Amino acid sequence: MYNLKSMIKRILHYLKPYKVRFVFALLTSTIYVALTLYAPYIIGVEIVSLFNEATFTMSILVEPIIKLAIVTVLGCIFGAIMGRLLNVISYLMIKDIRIDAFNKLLKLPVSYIDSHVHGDILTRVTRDVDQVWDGLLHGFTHIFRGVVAIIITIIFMFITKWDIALIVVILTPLSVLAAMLIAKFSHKSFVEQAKITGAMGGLSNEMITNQKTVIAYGLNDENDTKYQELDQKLYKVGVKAQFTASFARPTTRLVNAIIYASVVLYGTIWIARSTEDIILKVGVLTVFLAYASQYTRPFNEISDVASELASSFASLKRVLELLDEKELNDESNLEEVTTNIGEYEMKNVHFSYIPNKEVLKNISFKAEQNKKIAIVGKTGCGKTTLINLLMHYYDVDSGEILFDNKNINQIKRASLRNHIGMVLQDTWLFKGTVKDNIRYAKPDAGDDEIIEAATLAKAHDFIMKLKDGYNTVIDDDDGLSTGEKQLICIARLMINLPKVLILDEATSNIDTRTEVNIQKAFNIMMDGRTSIVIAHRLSTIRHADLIIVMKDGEIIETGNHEELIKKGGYYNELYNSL
Amino acid sequence: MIQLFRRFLGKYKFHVIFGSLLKVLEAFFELVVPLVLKYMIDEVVKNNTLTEQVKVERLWICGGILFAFAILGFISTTCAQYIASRASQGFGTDLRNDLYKHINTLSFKELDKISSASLINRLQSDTVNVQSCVAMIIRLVLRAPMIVIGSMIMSFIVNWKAGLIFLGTTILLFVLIFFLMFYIIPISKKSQAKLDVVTKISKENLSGNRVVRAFNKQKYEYTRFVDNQVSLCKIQSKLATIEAFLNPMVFFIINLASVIVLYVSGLQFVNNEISLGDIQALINYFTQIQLAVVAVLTFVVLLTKGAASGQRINEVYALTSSIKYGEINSINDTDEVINFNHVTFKYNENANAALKDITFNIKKGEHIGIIGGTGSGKTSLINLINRFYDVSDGEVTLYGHNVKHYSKQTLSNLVATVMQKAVLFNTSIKENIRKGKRDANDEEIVNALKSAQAFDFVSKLDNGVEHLVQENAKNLSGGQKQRLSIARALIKDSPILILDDSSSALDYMTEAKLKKEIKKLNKTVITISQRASSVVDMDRIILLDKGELIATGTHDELLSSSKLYREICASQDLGERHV
Repeated sequence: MYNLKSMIKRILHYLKPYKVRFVFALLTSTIYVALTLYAPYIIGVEIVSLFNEATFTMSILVEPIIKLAIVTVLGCIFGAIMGRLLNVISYLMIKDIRIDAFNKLLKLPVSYIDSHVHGDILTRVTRDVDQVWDGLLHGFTHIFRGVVAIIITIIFMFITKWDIALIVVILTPLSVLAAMLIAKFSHKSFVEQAKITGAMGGLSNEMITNQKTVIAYGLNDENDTKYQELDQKLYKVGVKAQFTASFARPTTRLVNAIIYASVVLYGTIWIARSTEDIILKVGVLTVFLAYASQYTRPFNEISDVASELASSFASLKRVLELLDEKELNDESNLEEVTTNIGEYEMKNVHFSYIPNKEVLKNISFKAEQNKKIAIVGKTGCGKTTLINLLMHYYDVDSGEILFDNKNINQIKRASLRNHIGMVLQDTWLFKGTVKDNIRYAKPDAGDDEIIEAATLAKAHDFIMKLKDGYNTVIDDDDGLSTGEKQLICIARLMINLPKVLILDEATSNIDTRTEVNIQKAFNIMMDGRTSIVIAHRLSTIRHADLIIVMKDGEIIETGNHEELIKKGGYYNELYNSL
Repeated sequence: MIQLFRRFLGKYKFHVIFGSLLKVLEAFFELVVPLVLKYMIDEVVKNNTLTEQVKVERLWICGGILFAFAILGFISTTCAQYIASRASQGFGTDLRNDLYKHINTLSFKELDKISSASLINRLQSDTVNVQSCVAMIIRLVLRAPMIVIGSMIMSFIVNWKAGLIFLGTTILLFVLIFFLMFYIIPISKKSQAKLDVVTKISKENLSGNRVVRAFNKQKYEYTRFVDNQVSLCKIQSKLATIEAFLNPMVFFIINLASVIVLYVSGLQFVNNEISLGDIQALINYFTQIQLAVVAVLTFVVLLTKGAASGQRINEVYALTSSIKYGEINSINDTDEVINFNHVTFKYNENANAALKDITFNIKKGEHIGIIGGTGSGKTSLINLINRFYDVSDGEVTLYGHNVKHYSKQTLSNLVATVMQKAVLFNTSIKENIRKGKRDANDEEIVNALKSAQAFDFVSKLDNGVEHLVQENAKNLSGGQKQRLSIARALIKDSPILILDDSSSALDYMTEAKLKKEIKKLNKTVITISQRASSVVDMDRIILLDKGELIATGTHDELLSSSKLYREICASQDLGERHV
C-alpha cells in the first residue's frame, strides 16, 4: 500500500513549510563539507610545498596560513548553521506530524480505538514519529553530506593529480562492497536476536507482573529454566550477530590501510623518479594522504545509515497507517438537537462488531420522558453494546435510534451528546486537580458551583480529606479508589446535568459506604430526567419504571418488577438466583 | 557498574586482557605508520646520495611494511572483536540469568518498591547497556588513550614544540566538550520530562476517548496537546543549537591548532630545526588524535549510560528477600486449619497498619466468608496466609505450624488461591489449567472447567481446551478469565481454597451455580467478597473494617449483632429478604 514513492511524497508534504530553511541547510552543508575538505588541500598544496630549504622564508608562509585560518573559522560557522537548521527543522516536523496524529485520535471512530492495542497506537504517536524524523532527516542529510564529500574529494583529487586519484577511486568500492556483504550477513542474526529478545521480554513481563500467581502455584523453578534456555539461545545468536556486525570495522579499516599504503608507495616512487619540484610533490602527497585516511568514511557511514533508514521507513509506514485511517464522516450537513424532551427510542436495531456475528438482535424499546429504564442481563448479553449505540460511538447495522423522534444519524454527534450525560463503570480522570476534573464539562465554573456539584455527588466529604482538598492533583492510574473516582465522575456530570442520563452501575471493587453514596447521587441525578441504567443493584432495578431483560443480544422480557416476577420467567429466575 | 564487572566479568578476565592487548597492538601499528612515512620522505626520497634504483627498491620495502601492518592490524582487530563478542555476550547472559533468578527470590515487600515495568526494563535493556560497555571497554579502554597519548609522545619525539601545542589542543578539546555536555544534560532532562507529559496526554485520550467525546471536549484536548508539544519543540530547539556546535567546534580547534603548528614549524624550518618529513608526520598525528578524540567521546557517552544502567541493576541486587522459608515438609493432622493469633500487619514501617490485632481460627472443612469494604484488609489477610508478606506482629499458623516454618513447596501445596485479578499465561487453556496440577489428565481438566462454570464457553472456542490464551489474556473477557483461574485453583490438590473477590465479573446466575459446585468440595474454603449475597450462606462470616475484625458469625447472627453488617446488607438490598 505504501511504496517508497508515496512515502517520500508524504515526507515532502511535511517538509513544505520549511522548504526555504531546508534548501538553505543543504546549501550550508555543501559549503561546510567543501571547506572541511579544502583545509587539507591548503595544507598540502599551498603550505607543505613551501618548505623548500632553498626558497623558504616566513613571509611566504603568512598568506596561506591566514587563508587556512579563515577557512577554519568559516567552516565552523557554516557547520554550526547547518547543524542548527537541520535539527530545528526535524523538531518542527516532529511537532507537526505529532499534532496531526493526535488530532487523528480525536476524529477516529471509537471502533478503531477499541479494536487496537492502546500501547501500539501510543507508540505510533510518540516513538515512531521521533524515529521517522530522526532517522529520515538525519539519514538523508548524512547521505547527502557523504555524497557531497565524496564528489568534492574526487574533484580535489583529480585536480591535484589524476593518476593517484584513480588508485583511490578504484580501490574504494572494495570497502563499500565489504560493508554491504557484512550487513547482509549479520542481518539474519540480528533478526533472530530481536525475536529471542522479544520472547524473553514477553516471558519476564508475564512472570514479573504476575508474581503472586507464580509464587502461589510454585512456578519459580520452571520459569528459571525457561528463561535460562532462552538466554542461552540469545548468547549464541548474540555472539554471531555482534561479531559479524563488528567485523565490518576491521574490514573497512583494512581496505583503508591498503589504499593508504598504495598511495604512499605510488606517490613516493613517483617523487623519487623525478628530479625537480620534489617539495611541491611532497605537498601533493600530503593532500592525498589526508584524503585517503578520511575518504572512505562517508561510504561506511552510508551503510550505517542505510539500516537506520530502513527502520525509519518502517516507522513512517506505521505513522501513515494511523494518519490515513478513515475518520468519522463529515457532519456539517447534519442537524442540531433543538428539542428538550428527552426521549430515546430504539426500533428494530441490529448490530455486530464483526460481520455475521450479531451482538444485538432486533432491539426495540422506548425510554419515555422522565422515566427510569433498567437494563438487566448476564455478562455478555449486550448491555455495554447498547451504550455504544445510544452514545453513537458505533453505528447500527440496521434499524433506527430516535432521540426526541429524530434519527440520531441525522443529528450531529456533538449536539446529541450535549443532551446526554454518561457515567461509565470504567471511570476516567485526567491528571490534574480535582477541581479541573470536575469542571471539565464547564471550564468557567466557579468554586461555588464546583463545591455544589461535589456535594450533590456526595464527593465533597472525601475530597476535603485529600491532601490539598479540591486542588489535589489526581491521576487515573493511582491514588483514589474506584468508588471515589466514580464519585468525582458523577460530580463532573452534576455540574452540567443534561436531560438524558446513561448510567453503568459498578459491579465490584467499591466499598459499601461509597456504594451507598453513589446510589444516593444516582437518585438525585435521575430525578426529573430520563435515565437508562445498566443495572446491577436490586434497588435500582426494582424502582425502575421499565425493566428490559436481555439475553444473548435479545430483549426477552419487559415490564416492571412486579409484572416480571408475576410472569415467572427468566427475570424471576435471575432474581431468585441471588 | 564496577561491582557488576567484578562479579560477572571474572570468568572473562582472560578475554578482556587479551582483547585489549590485541587492540593495543593495532594502535601500535597505526602509530608507526607516520614514522615509516617520515623515513620514506626524509631518508629516501629527499636523499640525493641515493640512485633512483636504490630509492625505488627501498620504497617498495617500506610499502611492503605498510601493507604488512595493514594486514596484521586487520588480524589483531578481528581477533579482538571476536573475543569482545564472546566476552560481552557471555557477561550479559550470565548477568541476566542471575538477575532473573534474584528477582524470582524477592518477596512482595521488596517488589513493591520497584514497579514491575521498571524491573522488566532493568532486566531487558539495562543489562544490554552494561553488556555493550564490556565490548566497548575491550575495544577502547586501552586503544583510544594509547592513540591519543602515543600520538602526543610521537609528536614530542618528532618535535617537542609541536608536541606542546598538541597537548594544549587535546586538553582544550576535552574541557570544552565536557563543559558543553554539562550544559546539555539539564536541558535534555527538561525535554524528556516534557515528552512524558505529551505521552501522558495521548495516553489519557486513548483510555478516555468515550468521555472526551461524551463531553465534546475534542477541541480542548487538542489545544492542551498542541500547547505542550509546541513548548517541547521550543526546548528541543534550544538543545539543537548547542548540539549543532559540537562537531564544527572540533573541526575549528583542530584546524586552528594545525595553523599554529605550521606557523611554528615554519619558524623552526628557517633555522633547520625541523625537516619536511617531520612536518608530514605531525600532520598525520593530528588526524589520528582527532579520530581518537571522537572515539573517546562516544566511549564516555556509552560509559555514563552504562553506569546509570549498572546503578539501576545494583538497586535490584540491593534488595534481598525478607522471607526465608523453613524446612517443614509435612502437616499436623489437626482440626485447626488456619489460625490467626493477634496478627498485626503493615506493608512497610511507615504505613498504617493494614491489619490490627486480628485473631480467629478456621476449622477443617469450614466454608468461611470474609466481607468488608475496600481497605478493610481482606486481601492483606490472604497475603499473609500465602506468606506473600510476613506479619509485623503475632503469628499465622496453618495446620499447627507457623507459616514461616514451611518449605516453599509445601506451603504452595497447602493453599490454592484465586486472586482478585485473574492472571493467565500466554499458552493454551489446557496448559494454564495444568499450572494447578502438572500431571492432570484431560478428564480432570474438563471436570475442573465444568465445576468452574467455564466448560460451556471453552467448548465453544475454536480449539476448545487447546485455545491459545493471548498475552495478558486479552482475547478473553473478564468473566472468562475469572472462571479459568478458578478452574486452575480447583484442580490443585490443596486442602485450602481461597477465592478473593474472584466472581465479581460473573452474573448472579453463574455465580450461584459456581457456589453450588464449591459447596460440594471437601475443602476448607475462604470466600472474600464485597457482595453480601456471595457470603450469606457460609458457615461463618468474618466482617472486617479498616483492618479490624468487627464480628464473626453466621449471616443471621451478624444481622442481629452488627450494625455495620446490617448497613451493608441494606445497601445491597439483602436484609429484608433473608430476615
